[in-house]
Amino acid sequence: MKKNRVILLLCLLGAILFPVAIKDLYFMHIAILIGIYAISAISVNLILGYAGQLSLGHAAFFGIGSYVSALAYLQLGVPLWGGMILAPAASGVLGYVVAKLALKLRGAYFVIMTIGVAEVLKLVALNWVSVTKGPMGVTDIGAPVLSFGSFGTLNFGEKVPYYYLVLLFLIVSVFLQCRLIRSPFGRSFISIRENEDLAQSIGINSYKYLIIVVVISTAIAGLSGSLYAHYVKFIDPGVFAFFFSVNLVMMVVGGGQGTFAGPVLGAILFTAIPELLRVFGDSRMVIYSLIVIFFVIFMPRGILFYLNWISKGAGRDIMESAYAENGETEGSMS
Amino acid sequence: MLFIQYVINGLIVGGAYALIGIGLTLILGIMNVVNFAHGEMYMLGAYFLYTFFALLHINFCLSILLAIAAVMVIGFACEKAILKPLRKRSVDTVMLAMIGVSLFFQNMAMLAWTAVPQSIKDPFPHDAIIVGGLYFIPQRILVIVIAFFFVVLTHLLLKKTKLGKAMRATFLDRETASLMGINSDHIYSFTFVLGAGLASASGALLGPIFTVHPYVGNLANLKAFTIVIFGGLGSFTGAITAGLLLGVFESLGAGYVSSGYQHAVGFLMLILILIIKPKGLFGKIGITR
Amino acid sequence: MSHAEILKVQCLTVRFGGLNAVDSVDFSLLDNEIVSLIGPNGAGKTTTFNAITGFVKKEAGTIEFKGNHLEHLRPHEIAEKGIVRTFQITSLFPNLSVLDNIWVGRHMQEKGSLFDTLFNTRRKQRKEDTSFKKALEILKFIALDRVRNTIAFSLPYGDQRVLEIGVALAAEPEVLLLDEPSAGLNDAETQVMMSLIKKLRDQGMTILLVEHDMKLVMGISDRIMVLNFGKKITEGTPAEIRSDPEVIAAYLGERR
Repeated sequence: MKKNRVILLLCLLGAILFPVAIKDLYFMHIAILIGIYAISAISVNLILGYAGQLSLGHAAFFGIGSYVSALAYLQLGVPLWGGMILAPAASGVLGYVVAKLALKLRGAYFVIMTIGVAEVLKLVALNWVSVTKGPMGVTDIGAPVLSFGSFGTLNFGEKVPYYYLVLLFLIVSVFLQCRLIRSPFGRSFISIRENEDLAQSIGINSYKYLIIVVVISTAIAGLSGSLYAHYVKFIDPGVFAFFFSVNLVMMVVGGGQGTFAGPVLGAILFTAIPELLRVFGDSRMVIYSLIVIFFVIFMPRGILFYLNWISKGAGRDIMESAYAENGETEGSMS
Repeated sequence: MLFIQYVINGLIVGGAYALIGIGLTLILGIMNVVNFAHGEMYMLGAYFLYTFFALLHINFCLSILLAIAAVMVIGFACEKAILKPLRKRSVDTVMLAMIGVSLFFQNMAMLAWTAVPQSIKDPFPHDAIIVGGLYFIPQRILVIVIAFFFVVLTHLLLKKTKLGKAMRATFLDRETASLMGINSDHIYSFTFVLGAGLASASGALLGPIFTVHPYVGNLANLKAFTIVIFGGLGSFTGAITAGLLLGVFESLGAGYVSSGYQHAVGFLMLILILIIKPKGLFGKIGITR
Repeated sequence: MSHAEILKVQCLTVRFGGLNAVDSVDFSLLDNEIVSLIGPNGAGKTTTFNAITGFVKKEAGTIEFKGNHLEHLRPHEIAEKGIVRTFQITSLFPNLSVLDNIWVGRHMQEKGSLFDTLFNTRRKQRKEDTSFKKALEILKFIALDRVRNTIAFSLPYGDQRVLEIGVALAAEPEVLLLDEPSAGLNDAETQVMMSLIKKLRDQGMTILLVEHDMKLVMGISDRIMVLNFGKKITEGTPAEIRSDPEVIAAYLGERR
């Protein structure tokens, strides 16, 4: 446990000092995207890694958050801070409706529903031109400027301040995930994932708890969508792309589902990989798809699991390294 | 009159939808594989038709058959390379792997044929034949005829041949079927190839009607799953009924409401059936985890 | 020890595709007794359990527990009322440790508000402290505290079945429905199971079990009920049942 704390602090320190060390705008850009996607990945991790339900439509909630935040800014003059409240509210409500409908069944039916929701929202974004500007997209989404009198101004339209904003929310999300999982709530999601019938037989209302986890998850996804919209300052129906939902799932699966660090690690991996693959030009996505297949077949537990396995040596019980992080043994009282 | 026209148009497209639905319900029911690459088989069927007919100038009907054959070969390779090694893994793993496969095919198609949407001009006269005030375009008639032909063919295969019997046995109870000496590897191979073939037939038939681009598989996939869920998992009749209904509702929706939201009709059907009868119209079983 | 009627089942009927898996079954459980439900395979025993605990839809029948009607409740609501069941096929939380399995069982006692969770309030921490202590108590009671950190799926089969009971105990049931607790256990393990069940009864619990092992059934039951083809054919004390010709006929020769 001590070792984990040290690693965590080092990573935090590294993240805070990153803009001081790296001045290259391209890397800053990637870092900000990684941060935003990591928040989305955490939201998927809650549903998939902990509650055991696969959602291939999280782009729907990310996208709704983006559009609500962007349109609130452009039509109503609501700044980023307001958008960050409206966006999760909107996606949370949508998540609630979808959950109530789709969670009557599990497994593949739920997956299809989530895909369908994202597709329908894409259609709406494309066709409801009067509101969403259709395929042209929404432009000129502004980021706020805070002025501190004689101390100067903080312009969130610039990369460095926005980086710290995203980092702040990432830390909050990780913290939220931790609090949620190390609690009776978390234990009930996990038990539903492990054995839903058994969970019900000891008094866990699986339907209710799954709805709660979906709403929390979609709200967080909406928040990340809002952060995205005000950073890239332009969004179009492409935010609802199926590929994006798939990539989010890959972040969770490839990083390590059901762990605290997995989604962040996965976000780094699966934001970096598509970027690095640019050298391959047009074949880029073909290679990406092969990487996806590779991970699914050979590393379904995610990188984190295999890293642990290597660093701890083969003698150790395999499952412990992946799940002991949830710390439900005596360490969880801290 | 207009209403009947819409219904007829819808039935034609629905016939092709039935093909893709039957293919998926067989794969899902017999192999318990959530085949997210099914839409890509559809897409490849359309693109191969384009290649053989528009680029290589092979006879149109022959091109359709060649396209189906080509995709069946691809399906065979897929099954052997991906599905067979993953036989013992969980349904989720296979599902995600097939998503990877679908991404692979989408992007290969991008490389091979570029992202520019293509339209396939069929060689038949484009003037409609008018019967009793209703308009019938020759190519559309071909679609419904061929779709009907393939449905009957598949039905005969399943009901009258030994192979079909083996498939139905595997569908009902995998373990017992293999204990009875049915080689499940062969059955799975054949089922997947058949499913891919049907999907590609659907793509080849609908290719001239809708434009073709590498990502058309996403929508086709969604519709295929809607059809299977609506009709009932593993139900042949269900897939046909749901396919026809989807075609008709889409046509009516496009005609009376708006063509932009046409593709959302399927989603509405999905929500409806999940609320009213989650097992589907004719379904008796669910997807085992 | 009072022997008031605690659970009353009347005219319970469950239909599966035209067949009555459970056919108009009546019985009562008295407080603090061990009752066994026996019968040949397919007699409808597990289905009866499923019907009582809400896992399967009933065609007809009433289920009264301490004056409350349970017929329309869902499984988790029935657990909240105090009836907990185990499953015929080993049912655990496979990837969690032994301790965590039991900890999860304490959900009903432990659950709190989202506020408590997010702010890690003292109330939440106190509940978790209690849970931890109680889980350890249960572990000691079922003699699994030496393996508390072992992951459930890697436990030997006999320990898994005992753990299942531990999980059910964590939910603090008044009535415990055990579905073939000794299935697959050898003689020594069955003895351990028998004394465990007796200890539970001595602590005030009411226990209904489905069983095939006649030594266990005859050894610990206060009463025995016999099902065949979905119907209850008789009930009585072990001595009465042992010599009942109808029961013997139903089994086509007595099981050991």
